[in-house]
This record gives sequence, C-alpha cells and structure tokens, in this order.
Amino acid sequence: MNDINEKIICILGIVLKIDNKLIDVNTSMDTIKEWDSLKHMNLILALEEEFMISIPDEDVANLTSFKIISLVINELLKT
Amino acid sequence: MEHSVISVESKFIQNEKSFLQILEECNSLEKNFSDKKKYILGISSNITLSPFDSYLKWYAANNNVYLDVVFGNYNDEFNDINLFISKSVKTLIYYNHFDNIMPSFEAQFSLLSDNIIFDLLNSFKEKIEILFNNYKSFDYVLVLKFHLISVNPSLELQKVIDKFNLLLIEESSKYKNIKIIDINNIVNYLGLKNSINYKSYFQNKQPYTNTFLSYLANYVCDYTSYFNSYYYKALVLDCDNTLWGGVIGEDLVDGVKISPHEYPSNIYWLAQNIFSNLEKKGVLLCLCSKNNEEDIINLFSELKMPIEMNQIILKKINWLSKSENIKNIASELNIGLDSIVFVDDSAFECEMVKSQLSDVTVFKVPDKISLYPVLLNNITSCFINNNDNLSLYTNKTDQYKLKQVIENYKNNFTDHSEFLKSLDIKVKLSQNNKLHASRVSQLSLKSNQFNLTTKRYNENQINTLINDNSWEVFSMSVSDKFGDSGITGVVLININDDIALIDSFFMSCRIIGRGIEFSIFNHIIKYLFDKGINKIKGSFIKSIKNIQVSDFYKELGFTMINQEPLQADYELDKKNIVNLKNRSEWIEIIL
Repeated sequence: MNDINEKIICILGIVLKIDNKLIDVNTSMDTIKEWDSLKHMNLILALEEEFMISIPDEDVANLTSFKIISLVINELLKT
Repeated sequence: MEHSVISVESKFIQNEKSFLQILEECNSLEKNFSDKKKYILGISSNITLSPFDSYLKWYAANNNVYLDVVFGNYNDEFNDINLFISKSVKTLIYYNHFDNIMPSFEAQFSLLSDNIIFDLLNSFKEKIEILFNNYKSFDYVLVLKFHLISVNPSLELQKVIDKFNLLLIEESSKYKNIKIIDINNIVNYLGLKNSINYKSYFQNKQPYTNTFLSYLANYVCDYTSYFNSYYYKALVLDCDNTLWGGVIGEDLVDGVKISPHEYPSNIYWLAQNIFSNLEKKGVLLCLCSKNNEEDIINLFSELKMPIEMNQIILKKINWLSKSENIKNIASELNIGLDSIVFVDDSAFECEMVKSQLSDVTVFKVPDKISLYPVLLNNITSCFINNNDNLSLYTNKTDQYKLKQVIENYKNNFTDHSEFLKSLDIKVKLSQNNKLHASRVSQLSLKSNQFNLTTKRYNENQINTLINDNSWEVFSMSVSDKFGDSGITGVVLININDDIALIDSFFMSCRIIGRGIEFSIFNHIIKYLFDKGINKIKGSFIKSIKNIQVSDFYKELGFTMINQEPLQADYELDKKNIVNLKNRSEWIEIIL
C-alpha cells in the first residue's frame, strides 16, 4: 500500500471515528454504518484540504468507497 | 479553565489547524471525557450546517466541556422539537438562512410582488410564534439573526431583512430562555468572500466556509460561557495604564490620561464606561494596584470619571503581590477563584497571577493601546450571562458591601452567638411562590459552596415544581439590622405518601455563618411532621466545592443510613424528633 493510500485510510479513520484496522480495500459507504451523508461532506473537505486538491464536482458524489477515493486521488495527484 | 493569559494577539490568531486536525483532536479529547456528563446541543435550521458541530465540539472540549451535537432535519423545525426532546437536548440553536427562505431568495427578491413578501413575513411570524412557544421546554435557545449574502443589496431588500430580524427580536423578547445572536458581526469581520462557500451552498445547501463556522462556534461558546459551564462574578482591575493612562504616583492627578476627547485618554474613558456598565449589571468591581491607597482615593475624588469610588466593592491598593491580594478578594467576597477576571497592563503581573492562581482568568491590556477596545469586547463577553437584570439581583454590590459592614461590626463582639443575637435576624419563608421562581433558579445554578446536592434547575423546571402538588418549594429571604439580603436560600422537597425527600437545599454564601440553615430546617421539619409525614430523607452529594456542608444532616440530628465515597444518605423518623437540636433560637421566622 502506497503512502497516499495510507493517508486516505488515516483520514477515513478520523472522519468516520472508526479504528483504522477496520478499513481495507473493500471498505465503502455500504460496509461502514458511520459513513452517512454528513460525514461524507466532512470527508470531502478533509481530503481536499489534506491533499491540497479540488475534487471535481462530478466525482464528489461517487467517492463512496476506498477503491474509488484512492483511484481519483492518485489520478488527481499525478496531474 | 486552563488557558494562559488572554491578550488581543492570542485571541485573534485564528486557529491555524486544518479541519482534519480539528476532527482528530475532538476524537482524542472525547475519549478522556467518556465518564463525564455530556452537554447536548440541538441545531435546527433551514440549511445544512455540518461541520459546525466539529468546531463547536473542539472549542468546548478545549474548555473541558464535552459537547454532543444533534442536527435536526433539513428545514423541519417542528419535528425537530420531538427529536431534540427524545435526545435530551438542553440548549438549542435555531437558524434560518435568509437566502434560503426561497431558493436564491435574494436574487429573486426584486421579481417578487409585494403581496408575496407580505405573505412570507406573515407566515414567518406565525411560525416563530408557535415555535418559540414550543421552545419553552429547553433551557436555552440561541436564535441566530438573518444576514444577507448579496454584495450590494438594494434598499428594499435591506428593509425586508430588517423586518424579518425585528420579528425574531420581538418574538424572542417574550421568552427568557431565548437569546438572539447577531452573526452579522462575523460576516462583517471576515467579509462575504471568506464567509460564503458557494460550491458547498449549491451542492449541499451548506453556505459557509470552515473559517466562518469556526468563528461562529467560538462566538457561540463565548456567548454562552461554554454552555454555562462557568460563571464570572468579579472583575479585578489594575489602575495605572488600565483605568487611565500614566502612573498616578509619577504623573499625579493632573498628569494621568482620562478624558472623552483626546487620544489615547478617550480609550481609557471607554474602558471605564464599559467596566462601570458591568458593575450596573451586577458584576463586582474590585481594584488591585501597587500604589499608595491615598493617591488612588484622591484621584477618584478629584477627577470626574465614569467609574465612581462607590462602585468599587473592594480595593487592595498596597505593595503586596497581586496574587496574594486576589486570594484575599476571593475569600472576602466568598467566591471561587474561577469566578474572577483580572485585568492588568503588566505582562509580568499577568503571568505571575496566572502561574500562581491558574483558576483566575487573566486579560492583558495590549501594549498598542489602540487595540484595547478589542480586548474590552472579550472581557465583556465573559459577563454576557450576568445581564439577568432581576431587581432582586441588581443591588448585589450593595449587599456585599453590607456584608463587609457586618464583618467590621463583628469585631466588636467577643462571643459569636452574642453577636448574632444582636443582629435581629429575621428569616421570611415563602412556600411555592411563583414570583420567586426566577431568583430560585438563579440561585440553583450558581450556589456551589452551600449546596447539599448541587442539582441545577432552570426557571421552567422550578415553575413546574411549584405547580406540582408532590413538591414543596421553600424560598427564604433574610433580613437583619443592616438590611435585606433578598431571596438567598431554597429548599426543594419531594413528597411521596408519608415520606419527604429533601431534593435540594442551597443558600447564597453571603448569608452563611449565622445559623440560619439550622433554624429554618428545624422549622421545615416540624412543618412536614405536622403535615402527616413520618419520615424525612436527605442526601449529601459531594462536589468539589461543597465540603463545608458534608456534615449538615448529622449536625441537625439525622441518622446516616448509607455512605459512599461521593454520597451519604440520611433519614429522620418522626418518633426521633426529640433528637432534633434546637439551635439558632435567636432567629425569628416569619411566614
């Protein structure tokens, strides 16, 4: 797991107030009950601030799993 | 509260922490709080306000308050009430975002007919009338005023928002538990650009930037004194370069700077006006200065200044250390060090006091005197809850002064009870008196030292008890040859068949030490037994401040039936009434 993914896990843990050990590649809004729409707003805010990126509007609603978050952020950081 | 000396500089460096750091610190601070009682706040709004909750929690947690925030549903204030009650919400924030009254209301406004605007105003008025009436079950409701998000609003728009705000103010003024907060201050301070996040507004109906929400959270915490977790009673002021410019010992009366007209004298003039107003609201003003007392007294009598000497309840003008003097002030006024705010211009004195008396809240007058008004705002906000403007309460300074006269009088007697007899103490006991509800609640919220169970009741709860047949609410006022102390003691009793449970007994510290507690208790016990009660139960619940009453029931003649580290339960059987010690017979009880 690369540094970026580890940082994403760390952010997910803090925002969702859950143990990092509970987060893996299969984590998504469907597997974590704490991950509701308000937490999702906080998550986007935190991701944007921590990675110093702006997540495109069309992606915001889709970032509902670790896999997609990782994909989008790795992509954004490349450009 | 554990924070350092407050200066303009420290207060206004907005926390530079990232949002994630705020969340992380909240999480870790909350872990330490798990055993303590949570304070539950509800937020009802026509917009989304997340992550306002995180900032509120962060500021609260940093002041040792464990806050839990319950968001109501989007634009659903009536159903929110039931939700909040089910979650035991005590304090409520109610906020309508003006632009969201209708979608992009401000932009639509000029296209709307007068009739529509008229209807909107009317329906809003009807809504808040019902809503605020239903808010009576909460301790405290903070209503945030409307503000505009248009850069250049038309005069018509400004008139209409003023009408909406006026409705809020007029309706809320009918209720004691509702307070209005003007958030325009924050919008003006930060500017619209730094306050509004359009992307978030249109995407999530959350119009604000994190910076704005952080300021708002700080403001709300300050405004409510961290949800009533502390209550300041006294303001202790240094003199030179705090109340006037210059040093009286060197510049003499003619040389000190204090006047309404020229700079910087006018800033000290402002400061004195502000302190003087606080005194009128019931704050106890004290002086603590390293000077010759005579010089200061002369200055007050020779110069006409906003603060007059008779507003000063205690002055410690000598060459002792300030922390020594502040300790004496606390003990003479019989208040805790955490009820004291100290203001001084010397960084040395500020740090000294803070390091030796960490419970005292210390403000440092800025070196750049033009910044003093900003600090004065912060000082004022410490006392924001002291404006209960109750007639019973406003002459508090007089009452404390009276206590000092008595202290002096006391020294003339060698025997304490001899002295007490000479006072002609009279206690007037009232039963279930609705007119006293507000003062009873105020005492319940503030009495710490003489408080057997430290249960807190707001005015609505007291009113409920007064109307409830199974409760007796005794309130007492004490007078003696020096004057009347007003309502200064309360006994709350819950009656269940032939058993009476003393739920609470608390007295203002101003009347402790005269045996009043025993004489009225004997009286109440007799009243209960005459009424058909066979057993009276009472408990002492330990708090950090009430150790002096730990043996109260024992001294009265009750039997201890259960003892735990933090609580002791006592009872008294009717047949054991002979055990009652008849004390303080010099006190006359009037019904």
